[in-house]
Amino acid sequence: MDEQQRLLERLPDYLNGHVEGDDARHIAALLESDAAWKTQAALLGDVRAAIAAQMEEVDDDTGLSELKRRIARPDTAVPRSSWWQRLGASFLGPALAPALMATLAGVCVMQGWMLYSRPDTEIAWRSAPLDVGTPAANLEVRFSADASLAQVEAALIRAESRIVAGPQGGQRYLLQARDPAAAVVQLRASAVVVESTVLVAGPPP
Amino acid sequence: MSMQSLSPSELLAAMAGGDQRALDALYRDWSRKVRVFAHAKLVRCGLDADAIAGEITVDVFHDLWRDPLRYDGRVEFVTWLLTLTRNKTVDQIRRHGKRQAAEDMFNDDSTFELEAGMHAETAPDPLALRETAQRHTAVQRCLQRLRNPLQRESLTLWALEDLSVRDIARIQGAPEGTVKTRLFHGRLNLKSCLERWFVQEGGRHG
Repeated sequence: MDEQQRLLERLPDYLNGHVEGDDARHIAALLESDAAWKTQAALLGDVRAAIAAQMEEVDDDTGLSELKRRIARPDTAVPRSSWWQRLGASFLGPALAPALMATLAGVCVMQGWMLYSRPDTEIAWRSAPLDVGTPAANLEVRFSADASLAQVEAALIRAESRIVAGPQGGQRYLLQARDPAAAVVQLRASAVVVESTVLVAGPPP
Repeated sequence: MSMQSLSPSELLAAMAGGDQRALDALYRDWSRKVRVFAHAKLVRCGLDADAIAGEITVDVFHDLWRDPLRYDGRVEFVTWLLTLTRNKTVDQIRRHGKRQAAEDMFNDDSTFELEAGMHAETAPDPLALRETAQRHTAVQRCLQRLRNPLQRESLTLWALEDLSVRDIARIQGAPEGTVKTRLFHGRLNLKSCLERWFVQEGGRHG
């Protein structure tokens, strides 16, 4: 770009007072001596005058009453809400209604499937072996027919044993004792025990 | 204190305190520039430029009233105000879905001639006044006929408020070199249009 062209592009800034120094002096000299430069400056002066004339055609107050009406109107804009309200509103918005309905339908299907595919726990209980948890008996005892409950209880406490099955025929009971041999001794010493026998333990099931 | 003696920043501060007189003063000082600039951007868009420029002007000052402290003083007030105006105008043009009309200045002789003729008939005497008014009209019409809307916008901004190329570049969001080019080619096109206008005028009266 030659110097004249560079200065010509600075002419608008010069005319608006934004050029100083050497450039300003050169432009001023060219405007004094060069007819083409004078034409360019006159053209920009015409633009400025035309825009000023356009502004003159408009009254200062044009639109001011409309502005005041707008200010006096209550603000119809939606008030700012907190983030969680906006989040909720966006989820409940009509645009998301189909997604919300699809989610609810999915939950219903899932619950139905869980209801009808529940494992049959009752069958599992019925098929469990009956001797599970039954304590093993290691004594057999026959109480006298007139023995009271309190007497039986006292005899069992002394023998450190408990009834695990009975009564069987002839007032017989199966007992479990921590020490069967010692328990037999204690039981035979009791007045309400007719007979007592240590049971031999069988093979494990 | 008179509102007329206050700077835009002081008026905005008063508006922040709810003073509507400050808004009135600001509006009277600046609304014409806002309106003329918006109008310059809207011509040849196929829209009602006068009506929409009026709406934009009210809208700009309504925004200022609602949030006067948006202006933070980092640039000159005029630069900031005209940038706001430009953004609103561009939004309006987009909203209406219009493009710049593809009118060809050289295929528009009938309108060109008609407007010149109308003005010659209605211009007042004396002769000098009429010639000045004719020249203003010719420049305004030729500005509107510039095919490149950014050249028209650059020239309008330059004439509105003694803006520098740097300020215009800031408003247009363009490099300074681009603005210089727009101003230069805008002048050339304007000169060409004016020569054509006055040749027709000379033929009419000669």
